[in-house]
Amino acid sequence: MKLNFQKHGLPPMNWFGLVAGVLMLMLPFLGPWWRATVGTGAVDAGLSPFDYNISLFGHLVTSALVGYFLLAAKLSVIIGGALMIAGSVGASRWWSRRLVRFGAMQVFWMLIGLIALLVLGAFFLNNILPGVLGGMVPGGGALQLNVPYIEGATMSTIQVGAVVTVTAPITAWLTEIFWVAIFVAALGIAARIYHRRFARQEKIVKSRKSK
Amino acid sequence: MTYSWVEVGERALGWGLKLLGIALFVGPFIAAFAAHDWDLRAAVMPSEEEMAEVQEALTGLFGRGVGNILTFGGIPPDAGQSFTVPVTFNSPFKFPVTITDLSGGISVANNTYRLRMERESEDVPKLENKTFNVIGVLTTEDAGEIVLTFEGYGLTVRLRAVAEPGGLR
Repeated sequence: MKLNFQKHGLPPMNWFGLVAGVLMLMLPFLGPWWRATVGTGAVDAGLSPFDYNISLFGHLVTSALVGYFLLAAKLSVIIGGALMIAGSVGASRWWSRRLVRFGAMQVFWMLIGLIALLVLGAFFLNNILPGVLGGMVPGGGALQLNVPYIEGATMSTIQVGAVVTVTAPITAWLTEIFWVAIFVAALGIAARIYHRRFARQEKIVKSRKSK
Repeated sequence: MTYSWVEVGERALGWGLKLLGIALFVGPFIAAFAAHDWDLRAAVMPSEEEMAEVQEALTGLFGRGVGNILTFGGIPPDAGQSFTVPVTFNSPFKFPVTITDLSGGISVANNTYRLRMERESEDVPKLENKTFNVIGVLTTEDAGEIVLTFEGYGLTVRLRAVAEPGGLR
């Protein structure tokens, strides 16, 4: 059974884009996509493409540049969502294709970026940082970092000389918001593909007019 | 070659959206550096106050041996089979810790005693001293190291030292 909304007086719409656009407006305010803890509050980290919070022993650590970048990402996805809604509602208008295309892939690329950041970050902490810091500890030291790639629970050990050994449990997990973002990204891709039918209709109308 | 107004509009919209994307990428760089007097370090790194706070919280976590943290009370030279001695933990930490283990050996008047805590664990408030009892039981093993294990913020810290006349090393 095919649903034909035009028969019911509704203008042609990209329904995938409409839902994706609304969710894109909400996404920056839902919270972190990924969280990690070391011990019980020694290090707490929450990360999303729109926000981050890192606290070391209860003290927040911030970076102005990262803060501005994430603010821009937030603005970008809000603008993208708004344009996506406009493009989806006016699906048969000449400007709709550009507007939908601007927002459709944003969340998808943000997901890819976040996963790449987490994998590269864990690789750096596990393989490069111990070598860099090992030589800096007075009296010799050994860092055995075992940071989970994206998700998991591990144990890391820091040895300072022959005197001090610190063992730290590390837990990292993807939050429910990450799965919401996956859903939004999938809707965005679906919206982009679905929108081709309106472009085809526009071409047919144009060619009929030219004849 | 002539363009219809729709084609011109579409091209203009395309360029406008491209420029918007570029502005949203480049804008944060300019805003962050401009807000920090074009100082790269200040724009990228956490502020000095933030780093000082973290460093302060970490004070004492590294670089202090058992000798500075633990003070043993007087052990009677004629202790016999066992003794109980008060031990004071001088916490340098700005967070509460729980001592979960103090073990190892100590030599007293040619005898070696194996140490253990009288209670299973001892809670120490931040930057405070806590005195608790340690039991020494005569053993034929070598004295070896004294190992102090405590937990704070979910981290387990293990300190090792050797007991010597006049203190710990």
